Amino acid sequence: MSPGAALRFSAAPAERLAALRILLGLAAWIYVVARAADMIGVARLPAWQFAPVGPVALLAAPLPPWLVVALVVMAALFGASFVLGWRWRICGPVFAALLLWVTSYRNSWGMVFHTENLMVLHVAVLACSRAADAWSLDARGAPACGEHARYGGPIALLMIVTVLTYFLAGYSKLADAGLAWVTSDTLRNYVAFDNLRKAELGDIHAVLGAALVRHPALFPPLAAFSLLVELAAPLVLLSGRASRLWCLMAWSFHVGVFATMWIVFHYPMLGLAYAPFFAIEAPMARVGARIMARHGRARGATPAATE
Amino acid sequence: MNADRRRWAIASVLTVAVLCSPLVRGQDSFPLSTYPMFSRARDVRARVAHVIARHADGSGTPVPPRVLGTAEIMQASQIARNAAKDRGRAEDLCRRVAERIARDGDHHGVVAIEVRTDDFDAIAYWEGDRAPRRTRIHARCGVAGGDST
Repeated sequence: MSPGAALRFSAAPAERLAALRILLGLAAWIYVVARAADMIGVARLPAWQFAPVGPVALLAAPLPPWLVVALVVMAALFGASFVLGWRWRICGPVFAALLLWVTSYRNSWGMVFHTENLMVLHVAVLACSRAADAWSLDARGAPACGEHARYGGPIALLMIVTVLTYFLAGYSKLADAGLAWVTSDTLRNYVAFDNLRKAELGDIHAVLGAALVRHPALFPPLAAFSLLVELAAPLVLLSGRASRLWCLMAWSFHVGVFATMWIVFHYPMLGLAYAPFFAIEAPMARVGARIMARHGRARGATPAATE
Repeated sequence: MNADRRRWAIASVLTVAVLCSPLVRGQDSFPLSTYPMFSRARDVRARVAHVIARHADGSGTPVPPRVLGTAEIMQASQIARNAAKDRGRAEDLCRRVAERIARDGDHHGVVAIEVRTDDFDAIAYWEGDRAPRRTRIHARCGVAGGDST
């Protein structure tokens, strides 16, 4: 299914949606495990720091620390079920809800990290789909599902969510600053400020960004490129070739942000944000076959080695 | 259009409406956001709220984020910024950081903690002029045993 077909919510193979469940779910699970200390650590912050966002706004006060720990542990456990496709109808939505909660709770202490939004939204879309009809523990022994709109529909929605997050960022720039965001020194000042802030806080700053600040003429073209990537994002749903070009441009935009501001948007930089635009099931099947073959060889070799 | 296509088309329209809703509310949240972090026009003024460890020789170094109760530098920055808005909070943060540094015992030479806000010229800063244009100290407190080096 090309992005052009996405807007028609055409059929796609069950394996493609399953591949996205495994890839994006695994990334979210690794994120929870890797960030568990930070997610739990906020429980030690004083209550006056508590500024709830998203679903956490339902709370009038912070949760007791033991409950924060329990929710993060549960998110890690259900995340594994999500990736493996085990008891999907329960575990898929529960992981999506827990991921939303633990990331929202971490963002509820005055600092909203905009690097997690797309990952949380993608997992929510997958959780509402039949992403475990193939390549899952639930689907063991079941016949192949073939192509169907029930698999293509959620992939289309994943693409829509991706491009919309970029469009919103571009729209906000135009709404808040107008075209002056491109023509003025705004981007240069952001790069200078963000690196200054990191330097003064004792963090690593982007040496390249700090050096580029001395060359003001570079920034309007960079700002125009950024705004083009963001505002043109929805158009790429109309064409497969345009979508692949846009994915490359958007990825290079994030590499540029990293190089000049030392800000890591891990989800797009690892290509995960753009995975729904590609037929990833074939390469993932090859990787899976290689892992299984290695696993099989290791199991076969063990008795021989002990003889 | 079959039932599945119709269902996902409707779900997509609803999702687009929900994702765009922060624009109507004009409020950033999570995971629904207007992504405002770099959207506003910005001039060269850079305001940084931070917690500084002051040494016996008068020099200052940023307090590591973990001493403020977080592993993340931007969260630490936000903690300092929130504290800077209220004298009571600034004094509370200052006291907690001073106690932690005294307890840890691995910050020899630190005699005092400052919760402060410094204003810089961001462009001049990277051209070599790193002196703050303006400084406000919201709280200052001594570190027990900090006079020993």
